[in-house]
Amino acid sequence: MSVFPAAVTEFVIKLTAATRMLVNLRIRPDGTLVEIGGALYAYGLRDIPLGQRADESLPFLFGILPLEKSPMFLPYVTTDTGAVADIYLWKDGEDTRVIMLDATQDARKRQAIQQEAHDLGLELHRHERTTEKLQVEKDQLESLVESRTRSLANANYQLIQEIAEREKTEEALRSSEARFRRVSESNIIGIMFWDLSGTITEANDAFLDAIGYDRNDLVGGDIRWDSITLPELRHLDDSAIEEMRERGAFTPFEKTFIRKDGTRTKLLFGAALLEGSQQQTVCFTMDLSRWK
Amino acid sequence: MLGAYAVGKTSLVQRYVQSIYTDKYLTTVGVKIDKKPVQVGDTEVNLLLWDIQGDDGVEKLRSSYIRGASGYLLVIDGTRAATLDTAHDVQAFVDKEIGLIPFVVAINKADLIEEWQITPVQIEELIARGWLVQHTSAKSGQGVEQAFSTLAERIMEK
Repeated sequence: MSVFPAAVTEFVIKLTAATRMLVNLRIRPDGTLVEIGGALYAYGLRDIPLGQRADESLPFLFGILPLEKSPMFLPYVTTDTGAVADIYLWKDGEDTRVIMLDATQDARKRQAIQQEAHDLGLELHRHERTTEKLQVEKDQLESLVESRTRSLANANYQLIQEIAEREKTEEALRSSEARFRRVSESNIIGIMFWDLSGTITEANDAFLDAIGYDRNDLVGGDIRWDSITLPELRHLDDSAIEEMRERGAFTPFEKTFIRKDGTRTKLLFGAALLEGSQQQTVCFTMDLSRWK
Repeated sequence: MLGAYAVGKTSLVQRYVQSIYTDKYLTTVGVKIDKKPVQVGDTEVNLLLWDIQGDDGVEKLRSSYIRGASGYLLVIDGTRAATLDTAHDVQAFVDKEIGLIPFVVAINKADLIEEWQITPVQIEELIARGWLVQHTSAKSGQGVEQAFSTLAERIMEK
């Protein structure tokens, strides 16, 4: 360890005292303050009484006297004036020496750097929290999309099944209609559609021929049930309608129809309610006189 | 006052000593000492509060700052899980340096409890270790008086 000349040591002491607001204290082993001096004003250390316990006026000494370890260093202690002091304590024989050196500028620089570092740390934490939240939301959204996609796929599958079923039904219907049309257009028997209000809505040529009407009469709405039915035999129709309402069809019977020219004709007559209807009927007639 | 940085140590002291609070975070360098008289039973005692700068760990925590401590408030930020780890490290450091002294855990920022990362299970674990835990909010004042009073009582009991 190099030994400095007394002139250097003295200069350094003067420089330190002048530029770093040096304060010195001496404290007895019983805690009594016996010496105080230096730039006390810089740290707000006014009216500190000698001969009393040092830690009553100087709180940073409370609990640490007598020193367990010497020397001891308390860096950056902010004082009541706002000035920051580096505080050194060491044993000087029986007594404890304390010096305070101004560290305000150094503390400010450190504070600026530390503030930057801590702000950055807090920002990083906020960023991580936001990322976590976004990840949770993303996972929830993906789960929702997956669930919806599954539901959509199921609905789509059901729709395809329903469309296939419908196409099958429509095909069966078309086939059934074709078969019915073939029967109707063959005119082997008379066929007509009639609702219970008395209107004949559709009829094939065999039926129209049997009652002496033509297609124009049908289209013109000139054929009504009551105009081709004998009033005195209407009760037979009523019985048949009642039976039809009960079981969907009635037992065919020979009915006398009034032809357009007023003459009478007897036809075997049967009818059934159309599926799902209580009004619409499909009827067939057969001219039995042709078979006798 | 011990704990990681930005957990609210300075804010708790300001709330307790001066009944003020500011949202702006200002990091502490070194230590700032405040005094607050407190009534413990029939005795009025002066609490000397050393508000010590916080860091992520204990590497920069100076043993000279805690040398004469009679007890300490171990502050955790409820919204930052990592500050609990720091609290464990600090407690172990203090225990090693100056032995077992009374302390109270203040889980701060109770006004932001919906954002807490510290879970009830973790809090239960602290209590199970025999640690005194107090939820605090320097912002609202919730639990602040209780935390310091409890600490003062524990110190006086010793």
